Amino acid sequence: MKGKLLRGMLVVLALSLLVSACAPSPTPTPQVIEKEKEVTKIVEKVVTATPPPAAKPIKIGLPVILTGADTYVFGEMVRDAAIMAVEEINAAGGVLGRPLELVIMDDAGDPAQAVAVAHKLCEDPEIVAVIGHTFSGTTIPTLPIYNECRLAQLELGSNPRITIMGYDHVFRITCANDLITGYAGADYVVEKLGIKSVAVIHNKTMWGEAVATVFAKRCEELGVKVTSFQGVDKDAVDFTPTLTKVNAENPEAVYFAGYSESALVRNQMTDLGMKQYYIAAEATSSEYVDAVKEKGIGTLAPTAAPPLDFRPETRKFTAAFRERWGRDPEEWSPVYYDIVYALAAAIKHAGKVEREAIIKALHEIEVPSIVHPGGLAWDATGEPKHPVAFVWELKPNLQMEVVYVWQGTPPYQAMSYEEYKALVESLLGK
Amino acid sequence: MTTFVQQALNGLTIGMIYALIALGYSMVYGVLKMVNFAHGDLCVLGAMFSLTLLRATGITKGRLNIIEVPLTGTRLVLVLGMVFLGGMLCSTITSLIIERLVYRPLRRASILTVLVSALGVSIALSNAMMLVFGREMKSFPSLLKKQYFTVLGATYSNLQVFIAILTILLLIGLFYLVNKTTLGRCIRAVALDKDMAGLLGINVNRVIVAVFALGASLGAVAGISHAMYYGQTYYLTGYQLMILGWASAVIGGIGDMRGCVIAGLLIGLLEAVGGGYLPILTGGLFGADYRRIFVFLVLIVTLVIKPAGILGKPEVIVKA
Amino acid sequence: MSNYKNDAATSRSPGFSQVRRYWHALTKNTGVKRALFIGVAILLLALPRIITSNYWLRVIDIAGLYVMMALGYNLMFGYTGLFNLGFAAFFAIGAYCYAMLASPLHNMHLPFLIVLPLAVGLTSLISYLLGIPSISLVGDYLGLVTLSFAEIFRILVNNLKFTNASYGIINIDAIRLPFFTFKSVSDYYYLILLLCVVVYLIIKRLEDSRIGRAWMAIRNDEEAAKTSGLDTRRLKLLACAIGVAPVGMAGAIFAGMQTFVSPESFTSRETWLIIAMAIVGGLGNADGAVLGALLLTLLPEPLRGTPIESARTLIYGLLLIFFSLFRPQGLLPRRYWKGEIEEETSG
Repeated sequence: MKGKLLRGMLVVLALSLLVSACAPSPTPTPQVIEKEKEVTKIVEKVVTATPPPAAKPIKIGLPVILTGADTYVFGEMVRDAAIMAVEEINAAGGVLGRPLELVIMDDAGDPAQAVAVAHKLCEDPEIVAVIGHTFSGTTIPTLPIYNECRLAQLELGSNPRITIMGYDHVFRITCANDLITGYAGADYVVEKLGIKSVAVIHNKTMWGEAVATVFAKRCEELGVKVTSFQGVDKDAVDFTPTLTKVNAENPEAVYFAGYSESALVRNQMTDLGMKQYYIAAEATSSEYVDAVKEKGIGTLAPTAAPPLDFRPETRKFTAAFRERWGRDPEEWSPVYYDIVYALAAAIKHAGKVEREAIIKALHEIEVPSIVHPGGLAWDATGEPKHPVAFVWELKPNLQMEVVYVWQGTPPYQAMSYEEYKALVESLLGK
Repeated sequence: MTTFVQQALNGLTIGMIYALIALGYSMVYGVLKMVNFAHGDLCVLGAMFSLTLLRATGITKGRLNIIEVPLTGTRLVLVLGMVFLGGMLCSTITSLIIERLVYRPLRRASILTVLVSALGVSIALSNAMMLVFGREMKSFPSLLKKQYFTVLGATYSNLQVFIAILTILLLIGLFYLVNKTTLGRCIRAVALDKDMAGLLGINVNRVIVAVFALGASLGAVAGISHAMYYGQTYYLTGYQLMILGWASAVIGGIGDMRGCVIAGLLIGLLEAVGGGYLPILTGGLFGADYRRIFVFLVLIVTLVIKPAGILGKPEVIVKA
Repeated sequence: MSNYKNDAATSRSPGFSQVRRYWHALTKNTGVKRALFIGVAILLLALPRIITSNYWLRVIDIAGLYVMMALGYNLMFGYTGLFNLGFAAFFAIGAYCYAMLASPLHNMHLPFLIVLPLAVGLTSLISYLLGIPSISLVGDYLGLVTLSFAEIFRILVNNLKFTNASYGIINIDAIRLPFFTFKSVSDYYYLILLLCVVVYLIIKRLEDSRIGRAWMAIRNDEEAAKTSGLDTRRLKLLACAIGVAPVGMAGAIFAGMQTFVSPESFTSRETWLIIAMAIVGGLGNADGAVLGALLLTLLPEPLRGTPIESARTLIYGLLLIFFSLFRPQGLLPRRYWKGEIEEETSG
């Protein structure tokens, strides 16, 4: 029996070591050693965060994704940015004379586990606010729970439905919700290009259709003629029939809301000899550039993702992040870094470390931000007052560059709450 | 027409990768009558390890694993050799350790116990990869400088040609090994009847080890080709590879090698061409995002109509 | 014959069987048995008073759902030997059934008492229909068919407008009975407790019934079962239909207590979690399924928020390997009736 048990333990041990035995190169390179050092550093920092002010720490919940899929961009990369901000704030003396402390918790990107995490964070009386969750799918089921225990919830999900569910404790920290990309594109078309007609195509996904609908609506408001509005199939390969039809309408620009099809549409436009402006929502990836090459020069891509180098502040952040962690941040890292500072400002503004007061303070404050040129502030529903979106352009050197920073009036300010709610429900389902 | 040729060429490339994975399944099934769920993860492990090699030797740098020095001539051959052999070695060693520690003690256990242990190995392996190699979707360099050819109006890249040639060479080698050598005869004998083969003096354990090694090596080549073709590798890719490889093996008739290759190519084609024409055939009702449904439907239909697969022998699979 | 059984058990794990012998001796006394039963019942009923933490109650609620699903899995796999790798899809069918019939999405607000039988019936029906063409396939092939079905179902749910695609369904009605609406986690605790007990009793009853024995005969040797005159095909289809019923039920309750469903809740992770529970607890034994589900949902919770929480999934995988190798019969092995020879185990 004993021998068997021993063997069992050996098997488990061997299996867990199996891959680790395979991974490192024969001679540990400096990078590997560096990484190991980092890991120990993280553990030290997280577990024994006792910065200069020896007062009781202010705890902030940070639910992120550490198991399952998407654990990098929505796990490590946002967590590390938040840790960095907390370290900086604590080094500078903390908030109200007390250091900040992050309570990091894994929700696995799973709505069921997210609810358990929410209950757990709610029940720790020392936690005063929560930064998360990272997906719309994990944010929506946790809304009533955080609302009941009055924890401010600074969430990353971009689904517009989150703010029309009638909660006052939720604050969107994405630069803009899903609909705004459509607005940004429309404003650019009018303001910078000065065109008078546009054809709108989308890929019949919920996101594509929603963004395209808002784009078309905004264009019409601004006096631009929408010559046609139609859907094509996601991942289809031959768009020439649709494009031939669009070409016959002779618009000054073609707008397309889709994923990887953007490149195919662009290439087939060139093949058909179409010379119109091409506006492709969120087509900023290197895959897009690789797929279109010279044919795609001049493509305009409205998106809500903050470029890491578009302001001196974000450039500084990127450099600091690289220094601290030895690798590049991802698109949402600056947002998490930023939001820790905003939360610290809110606690300072509230003057006391209390949940309800922090929710109130977050509604009142207006703080500078490294991502939002207009500063961070939230309206009563929790949408950012000064959302920001970006239009990128593919330059002749085949680099994507930001040509337009949209800071216009978002749809939830341009119309009444009821109108906006009806719009969102019609687009995304009740 | 051009679109069709293009889709078909792309489908064939990915189909070859599926065929290599399916062979690994099929051979292990042949000798042990078990489905090695961990096979997909072993494929990814090969790719992950060779990427680590590329970084450790300083050939690729940065988050995007960009190749710093141009790879040409002998250099290219050496690097390709290192990538593929390194990956194959890592997958093989891991596979053999798993065989020794988990599957061998279970050789006489009930089939369901074995399936559950294989499931456990798969879960443990993919999560261990996450913890060891990192969570990010890793960008994998294609190593070959991209060149394009035109075939019947469709574009074909040199990477696709490379994958095709590599696969065909491996298949020829494998078929030679199984059909013409002593080891091959032993493998076939063990697949036919393990106990009888043992009585006749064949070292069954050694044959099984050889089969696991072969399967894992082919899997690593498939994993690396997959990573090069799509330019990325991720710790969860193994699950998709597992399903598609398993599906190919079953459609082809598990245990039958020719069937596996044909079924792998068929699934690749089905995914690419079916995905391209689905919207047209259904008048836009179903988009290309439904293409995997095609594969699974074909799988279910095959299993129901001819459970032994297109070339397999019928007696093993259906209990009357 | 019974001697053989005892020998095998003793040689495998003397410590464990010792405990079991004490336990049997103890529970032979009906007085002790009754006292134990009443004690457990009181404990279960008073639990929300003892544990005041909503977090732990929520975890227990979810554990209860997994208990139902593990019981269903135990019926299909443990009793009958049908290898199903598509449980996540049946969970999703139950959840989406409730979500679509009781939410603003299609403007339908049917009461729970109508939706629950519908959800359970639909889940069973789909499993039955899936079984008709595929039931005669051997173990892993059936697994592949069910896995394919789960993938097809996931793709459909993720793309169809009818299910609101990847956006999921929000504002689902809380579960309500004619005079009562379930609100807090402790309300749901009682609902789930009740249904768990019902499912448990039904399955326990089936285990001892003619059908249950017939299922186990099929698992042990299908040829022999068939020769003895059992309609194995019909019995297996019956197991398909009944086995997923508690899963559909768990899905409907999940949708109600979560008030939100989206495709990301029904990944293959759910399936293998349920498998792990049934294996760890002990296949072929309803008590084992309950124990396994409770252990695997409750034990990893304290790891949350600690530095090793990332390794939770790895631990599940290693547990599966460990149990297959050293205790394939699970923590609470199935009982063997007189004359039955214990399955040969390894290690």
